[in-house]
Amino acid sequence: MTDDVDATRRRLAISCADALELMTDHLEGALSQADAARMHAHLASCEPCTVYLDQLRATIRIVAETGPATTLSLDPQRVDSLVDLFRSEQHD
Amino acid sequence: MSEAIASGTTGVDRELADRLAGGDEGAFRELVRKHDAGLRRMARMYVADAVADDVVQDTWITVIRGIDRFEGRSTLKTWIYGILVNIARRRAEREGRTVPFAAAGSASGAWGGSVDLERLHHPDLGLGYWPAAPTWARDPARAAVDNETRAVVLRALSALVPSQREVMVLRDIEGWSGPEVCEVLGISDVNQRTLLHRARVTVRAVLEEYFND
Repeated sequence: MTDDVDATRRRLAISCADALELMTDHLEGALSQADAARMHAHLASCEPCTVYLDQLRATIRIVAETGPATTLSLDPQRVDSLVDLFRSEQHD
Repeated sequence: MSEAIASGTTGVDRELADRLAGGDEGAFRELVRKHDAGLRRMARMYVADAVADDVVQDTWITVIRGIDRFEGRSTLKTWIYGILVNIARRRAEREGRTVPFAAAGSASGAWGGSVDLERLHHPDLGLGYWPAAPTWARDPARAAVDNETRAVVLRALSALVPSQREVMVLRDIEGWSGPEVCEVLGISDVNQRTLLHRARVTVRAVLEEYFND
């Protein structure tokens, strides 16, 4: 049993706790070559972390689709008054 | 120099800056059309809505008066947003508001890990390993973002540590690149990724609770 545990730990390369902390860097392509290899080995053998990573991707997508808290459209009057400001600054 | 390359300084920016410096109204109008709404959204992260437009107005004045100091080491976009962030932070400080200041959020604040360690306890492998996959009852890949989900996400974002919210909004909502965020907020790449990770993990946890409810 101990042998199995050791073999599994070796196959996983790093613990799930460590893999979780590397996930954003993994998505950003910011891992060192060594960490990237460990992450790759871990994900290949760890379904729970693969599920978690998918959920992180889903979170990013959902946040993106949520959009900004306030949608502000461009106000033509505002643009005109800023252009007036620009014009007046040219004559200073 | 590498920062400028990373954030994509282009000849187009240089040309636009030169036209602005020469008093070209059309160029200024173009710039306002492109960035005003985004600047107003950004300002609202720091100050009350009513004050935000003042901050943006001051930003545009600074841009107009300082355009000949634009050296092309950053993009016009990050240069303008950098000006806004400076003005907004000063204004927020004066008004006694909590300033989302990413540089202060680096190592400060206890981080218990992406997932509570008590959830990571495998019967054989021990502490630090999942006993089972953290499945969600509802499949978010299939769910469209309805109004209720949107409200949940916006609440989760506003509950974030300000420095984390600042980075997550710019990266995941406004669609900025990592180097752009670093440049405008004046933080290191490592710090930016740390804040982004913590923010994403926190919002994921809120969604997990919501989808399993």
